[in-house]
Amino acid sequence: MNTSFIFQSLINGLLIGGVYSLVAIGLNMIFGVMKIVNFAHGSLMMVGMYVCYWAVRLAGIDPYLSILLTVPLLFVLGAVLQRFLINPIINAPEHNQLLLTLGVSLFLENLAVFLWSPDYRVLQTGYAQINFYFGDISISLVRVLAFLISMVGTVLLYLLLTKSDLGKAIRAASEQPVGAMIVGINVRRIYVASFGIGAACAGVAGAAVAPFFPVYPTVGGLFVITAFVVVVLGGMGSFIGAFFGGLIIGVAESMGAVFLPAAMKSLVSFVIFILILLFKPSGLFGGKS
Amino acid sequence: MSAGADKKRYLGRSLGPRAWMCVLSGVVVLHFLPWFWPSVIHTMIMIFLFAIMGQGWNVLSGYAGQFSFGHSLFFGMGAYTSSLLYIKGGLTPWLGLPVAMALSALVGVFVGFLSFRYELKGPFFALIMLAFAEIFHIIAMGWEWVGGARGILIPLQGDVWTLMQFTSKRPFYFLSLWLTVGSLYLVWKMEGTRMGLYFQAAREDQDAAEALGVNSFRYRQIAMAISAAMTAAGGTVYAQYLLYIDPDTTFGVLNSVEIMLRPIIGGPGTVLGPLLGSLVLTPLSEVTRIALQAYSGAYLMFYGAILVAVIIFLPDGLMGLVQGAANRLRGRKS
Amino acid sequence: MSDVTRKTGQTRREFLKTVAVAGGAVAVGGLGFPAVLRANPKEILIGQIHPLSGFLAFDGQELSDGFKLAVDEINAAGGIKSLDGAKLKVLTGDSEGKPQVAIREVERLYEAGAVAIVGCYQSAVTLVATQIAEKLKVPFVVSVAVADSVTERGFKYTFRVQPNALQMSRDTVRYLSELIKASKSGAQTIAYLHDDTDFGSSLSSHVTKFAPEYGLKVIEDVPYSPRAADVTTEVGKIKAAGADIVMDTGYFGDGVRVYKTMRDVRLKAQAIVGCGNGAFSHPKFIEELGGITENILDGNYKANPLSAMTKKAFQHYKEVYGREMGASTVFAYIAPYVIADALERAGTADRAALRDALANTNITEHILPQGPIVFDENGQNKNASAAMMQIQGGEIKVVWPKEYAEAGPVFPVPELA
Repeated sequence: MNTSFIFQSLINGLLIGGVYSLVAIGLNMIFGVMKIVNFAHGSLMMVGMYVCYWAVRLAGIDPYLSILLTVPLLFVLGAVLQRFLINPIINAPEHNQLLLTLGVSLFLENLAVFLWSPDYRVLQTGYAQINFYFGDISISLVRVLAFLISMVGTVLLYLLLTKSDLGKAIRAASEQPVGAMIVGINVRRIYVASFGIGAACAGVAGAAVAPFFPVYPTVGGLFVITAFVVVVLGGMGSFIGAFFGGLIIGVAESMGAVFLPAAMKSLVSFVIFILILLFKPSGLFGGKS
Repeated sequence: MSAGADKKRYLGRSLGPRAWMCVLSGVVVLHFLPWFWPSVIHTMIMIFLFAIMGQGWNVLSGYAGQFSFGHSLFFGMGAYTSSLLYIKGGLTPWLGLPVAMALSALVGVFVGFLSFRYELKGPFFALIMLAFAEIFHIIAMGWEWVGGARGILIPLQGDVWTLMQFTSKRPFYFLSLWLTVGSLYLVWKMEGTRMGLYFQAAREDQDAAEALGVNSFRYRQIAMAISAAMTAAGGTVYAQYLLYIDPDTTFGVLNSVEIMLRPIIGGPGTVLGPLLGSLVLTPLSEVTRIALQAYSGAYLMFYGAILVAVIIFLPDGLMGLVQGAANRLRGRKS
Repeated sequence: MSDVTRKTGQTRREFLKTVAVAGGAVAVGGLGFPAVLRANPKEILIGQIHPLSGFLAFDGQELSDGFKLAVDEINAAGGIKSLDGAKLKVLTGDSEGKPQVAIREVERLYEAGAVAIVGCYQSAVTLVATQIAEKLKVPFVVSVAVADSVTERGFKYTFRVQPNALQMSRDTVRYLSELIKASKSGAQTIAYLHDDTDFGSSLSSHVTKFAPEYGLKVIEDVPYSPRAADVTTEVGKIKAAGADIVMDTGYFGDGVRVYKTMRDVRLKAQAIVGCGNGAFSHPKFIEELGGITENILDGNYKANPLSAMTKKAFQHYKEVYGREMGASTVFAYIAPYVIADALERAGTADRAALRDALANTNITEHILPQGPIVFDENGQNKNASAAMMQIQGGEIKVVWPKEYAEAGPVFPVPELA
């Protein structure tokens, strides 16, 4: 086990961790604002991956440019889901909401199976061939780009939430729904917008990884579980928590793969998950639980 | 569970003694099925096995209100325990079955101890169950001794009833039928006991129940143990029926979904819910599998749509419909 | 029950009536009738189960194509002559790459009347499917599956033409050691990357066992999941081991991913050698990755490149499907021929008689680089052997052993130095 190999894994872990952060931030928005545990988050990311894939295959669009398509499409998808399926049960017991999003994810995943077959699809792009070499360490361009895109997405979202009117309305609605309504904020509409934004985050993350990750209907499953671990680790409702949590989990998983046999690398994430749930359920950065 | 006045409907019995007699007469009829309609035996076995496991979930999640997203944990424990005991130790699955149930209950109580002690509720409990199921999934995948990713192929012995292996499907049909009846009976009895009421009390309002002296931690653990054991029983019979298990089909997340969908669609917190749900969902998956042909996994699309529809329009599941109709027939207002 | 003429959907009552009438006719008729009752079927159903969807869809589709091609060829040549020219009809099952689905498919094909079943590409799936076939007493001719245990369970109804893991790995190690000796490269250590299913694990454990006999040693063994999207860490471990030779076993999709990752991280070795690799001896592998595949070696099953029969088969496949027949597909192609040969000798479509005929198979005219196809008491092709292939100039060539070689080997591989 030489140092360059460990270092290589560390870097790869950090790079994919950035993507986890973006996915988790989207999930976090939905939970933070509406207290909805969105099981369908992974399938939304999967939709983003397919959008990218088809944009490249059918229209020859550059995979990174396709993000311009992904954002509005996923936003609309998320908004529609919230408006028509989730809003009606906004006051139902929590487990029913969880079950509903589970149902949505089942539907989306298998709709993808039905439409596009369960086969793994690999996006062949020129970008995937490019690697940077530093001595014994190789870093692939597409992973760096995925990381950068996730960082950009995170920053943009942060600015949206802190500087814009919509952002302020969202934060108001999440902290004090009744108070927000009193000052004239249409809370239901804010929920719709928030879900849309959360979905768009998942979609962008999907487009970011499509150049190096195989695209298939159940790929979302991997990411949604990781996203939950990140959100719980960082603290439900905490933006910063989701950001750092993503990086931490990315590295933890990568290190796990170095020292544990292949099939067991996700064990690390789950053990962390359980420990946090039991001993610090509010997460590393979470204030209120 | 719906809020408000409907709550009262499912406190206490969901099935009166007369209705139970009807169920039993239905069971008698089912005994003749293998001779009149042999082509559906496999489907019926699957319906029964998932009804049993769904009933297990129902005890913990429907009655005691602790929604678990990781019941495949117990299914896998059941399937692997009895299979390993047979392959490594030559123990007949008939004895392996109670051992699997006990071991599964132990695992459940362990998880329960961690979760209930730390007061995990709602989605957090659901997720921790999922996490534990996934941990066992990963371990089963990576651990050579239990077969790893290849799983366990139980050697074919032919018709050896002492080893729970039969060349015909009929013995499995009757075995699963009787286990289903057993699980229905158990839950039916439990509904009327104090324990059953305590489960439901802790579910509806934990603080009020505790104030009245109900030790919700203890009753949750009991519910968990029963739940785990029941689901494990289904796992053992499943393993012997198919003679092949692997980490994906036993501990996989999809299995948790299959197990819990049945009582949710059928009616959580009711005796017949899991069976009703199974009677609807299992044939649906078989039919859509044949109709869609190309990708048989796509039947899950319908599962997803049905789940969404049930949550929005029928939160009490099919039993809610049945109960509503029964009440109207009796002229009772809800 | 091996009553091939029973149609599906017949109710029990109709069936009983038919039997009663037939029984009465026999009782009354006497000598002349039995021949009429045993009228030969015009169509003989043979089933195939391959992963037509899922992560191995590419591989499964190819095998299905090869299988169907052989059936068409047999029918075009007149069908089964001893059964009045009865034609073979294909029943197709999709295992989706999952053993549980294969169980259902075996039962479905059996109920539909298949007299024999061919499959399944994955060792794990095949192990399960053959067990069900044994229970139902349906002859099962394995198309592709390498795990030894497929033909080590004392089953009477399982037959396999391709070399098993033991034969394949021993041949590969032997050929590799001969290449090393001939080139005097002094290689001694092997790092082995393989999928974690029965397929990869059985080959790697055999190679580890045989290596010392030939002066080699496996110093690192890294399993990976064929469904994993990312294998950088596993490849990294192999690279870190610094062995002289890197070996790899996997299916097509993951084989491509693994090799690309190996080149991306600039893996150094005297050679990268596949063992039973689903990608390394496949033409599409070269298409997808291009020039970086030059000089990859693979110890694998292969059709005999020097035989005229082989050239004809490959040409026909190319005409019909527009692409080259892969090495795995060869075995899906051979299976119907083996079954047809047995049917000819059995003279009946009865499953038990077919099984006996299969057990007595002795085919000398075939497209494999070996002696006659003869099954041992466990159903394994006794003379099965592998060959060492190398990709040279964008084409897959047999380079070892010399009697089947099309070109000389390039060893050590300069690109990997």
